[in-house]
Amino acid sequence: MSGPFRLLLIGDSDSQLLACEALCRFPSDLNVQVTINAIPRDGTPDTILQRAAAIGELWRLEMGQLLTHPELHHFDAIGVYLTGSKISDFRQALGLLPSRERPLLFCGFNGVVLEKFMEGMSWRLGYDLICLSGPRDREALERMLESSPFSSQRTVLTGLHRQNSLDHSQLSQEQRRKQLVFAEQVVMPSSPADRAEMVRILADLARRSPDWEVLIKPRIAPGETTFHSTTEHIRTTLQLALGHPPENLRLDYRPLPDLLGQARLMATVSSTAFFDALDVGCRPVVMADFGINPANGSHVFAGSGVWRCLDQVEDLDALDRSLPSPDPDWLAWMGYGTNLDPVELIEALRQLRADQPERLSTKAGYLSNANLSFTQLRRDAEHAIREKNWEEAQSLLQLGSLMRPTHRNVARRLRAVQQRNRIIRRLLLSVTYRDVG
Amino acid sequence: MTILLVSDDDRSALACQLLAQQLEQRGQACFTIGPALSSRRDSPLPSITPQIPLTLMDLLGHELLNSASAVGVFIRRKDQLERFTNAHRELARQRGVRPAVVFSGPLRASLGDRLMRQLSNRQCCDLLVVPGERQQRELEAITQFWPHTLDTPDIEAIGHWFSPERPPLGGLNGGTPTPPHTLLALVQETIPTQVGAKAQLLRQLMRWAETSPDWSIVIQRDHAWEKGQPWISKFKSSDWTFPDNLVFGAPGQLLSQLASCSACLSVSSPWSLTAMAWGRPTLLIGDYGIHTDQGTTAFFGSGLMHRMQTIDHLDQLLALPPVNASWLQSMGWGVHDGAARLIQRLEELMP
Repeated sequence: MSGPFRLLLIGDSDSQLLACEALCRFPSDLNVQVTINAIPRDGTPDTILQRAAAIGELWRLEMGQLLTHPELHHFDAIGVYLTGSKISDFRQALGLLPSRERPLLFCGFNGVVLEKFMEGMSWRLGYDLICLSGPRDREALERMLESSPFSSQRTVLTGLHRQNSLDHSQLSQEQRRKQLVFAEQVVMPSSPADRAEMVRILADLARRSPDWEVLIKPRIAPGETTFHSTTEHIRTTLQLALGHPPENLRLDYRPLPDLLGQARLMATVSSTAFFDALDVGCRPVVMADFGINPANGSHVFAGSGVWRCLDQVEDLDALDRSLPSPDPDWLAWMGYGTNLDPVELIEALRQLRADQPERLSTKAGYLSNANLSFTQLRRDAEHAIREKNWEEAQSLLQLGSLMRPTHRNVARRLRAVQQRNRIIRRLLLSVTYRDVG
Repeated sequence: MTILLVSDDDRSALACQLLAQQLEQRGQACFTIGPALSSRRDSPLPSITPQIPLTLMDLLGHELLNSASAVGVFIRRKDQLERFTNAHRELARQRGVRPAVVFSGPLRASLGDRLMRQLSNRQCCDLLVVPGERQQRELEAITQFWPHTLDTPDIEAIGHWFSPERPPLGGLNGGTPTPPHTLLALVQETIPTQVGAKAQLLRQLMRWAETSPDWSIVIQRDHAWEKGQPWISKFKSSDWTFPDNLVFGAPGQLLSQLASCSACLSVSSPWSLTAMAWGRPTLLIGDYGIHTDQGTTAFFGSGLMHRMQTIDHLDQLLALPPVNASWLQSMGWGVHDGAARLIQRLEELMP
């Protein structure tokens, strides 16, 4: 093996940066040199950026700057963890660069995919390699692509482990505190009524279990942002639903790994944190109180073997005594507990480096979202203009002009948003407006 | 067996009638049940009146239900399905008799999130009927680990029972339509979802009418609508000048238009599958991408998705590649013994 394998990972929201972090569990003998580019974005938690910086070199470049960065070609592979349309845009933009020796491109998903798998996959088709969590995702992809021209799309299973079990010395169950950590998700459930009910159930469970602490770990701190937009922070929900919560229930903003490292139990509706808990020896339970509802991701987690109505649990001592381990067959299906590992990714990339992949052939009648990306990018740019988010609009239009250098309207719109004089910018935007659907 | 088939709108009334015909051909007694359709609404489908003018809730406690072996419920209001099923089972328990088997299913072939919602909305049923083995495999994959306490319904693929298997006699043309040509544009109530997209689509249809004067374009809504309500809200006919060869289709004519058209076009209308199965050259407008909201996820892999800009003259529609037959078969068209499968499943579910 000669020289390090140079890997660039690109993410923007905190979920995507966490997905990048989860990939970086390479043994030292693989000699992988990691650089992470966290696209600058307001509200990305500092802790996430600090964790990214601990893995390797941390860049903070905008997409346009990144695409023209002189070092880009020196990487062996680039992993793209962005939102749907940007994933496709990046692939197409890099494909326009002159060098035939471009880095290999791969992408993946942020943890467990609960919904919009087909849409998400449709943006990703055409990458040299797509990372999937486990057999569940691979089966779904095979069903989607069977008898289509995309059926030769290459994939690799990288599993759902986030941390190597040897990273931390784990406490035994007896050494752990009588704590239940609830991993909150910002949109699951999404309705204010369901979220209030969720908080009420946790509060009642805390009241029935005075020897325990129920710690709600908010997905984000107030003022931070994540992949999903949120209207009401869990702190507000707590106030609105409970007034004064019981003394043994509180919000806890410490990093999730710290909380899971000391607690006996972890509860969630459908968070990927379920697997983080397993990584550190904390026993997970899935909240079944909202039934099977695909909007909550419960259809995926109902098979976990630890799906319980917390409202019907006598108390946390009873739950602690009776809770089994998750179903190993379900875990294996999801991509956990087997030998799936990001090492597979590096091996697959090295193999592709030796044996250059052919591009997926496009055939009339078989559109994917990737084919539409330029239009979507223009729509996103127009949305940013309406929101007066000039920086975002400029970034998107720069990308558009890289993809279609001769597209006159994109060039004109770019010049307009780059104009600093407010009145002239408004005038230019007015005269260059085109309906992009 | 005595099987009741309950509908509550034009689409489900037609589907129930088609299923009843198939079941009766196999010796089962069937009754179609449902309210008369509102006279204030127009439908693209032929007018169907269910045999028994009752609503689903009217059936509770009705003598007809006591004698039924199975009830197929195909109504829009999914909350009523669960209320009905729970009440029916409770009443049967109190009377010490076995409840009728309750079955239901979507009236279209879906995949992904929409398919999952179709299952969760019918979680209370004994049997979920889906069109194809693709739907069956997808649902069986996700439910394979669900706890037994969830009482997940059995799942069976019974094909496209909700649309006519073939056009009327004389309607088959072997896929080679002859002039004068007609394009049937199947337009949808809420799709495409983007603001202004319906008007954009209408403008494109007008451009095609102008560039292809030897073609007629019939725009047919694939859904029922309030009489007098235009397809595009705030549509003023005075704002538009239609070419002579572009018209909005008359109510009640969708099936005959499907049978007689030279080509069909849609974003994601479920009736476009019927057009494909009947051998009509079909174009699915791919400009809106693969999205659950646009109803297009199910059509990924059909081989019929094209951008509108790729068509200059409508003659090009006749030269488009045919539908991906494997995809069409897996989406339900490969199931030709749906009624027999349904009967067998219902018999298995009866104690």
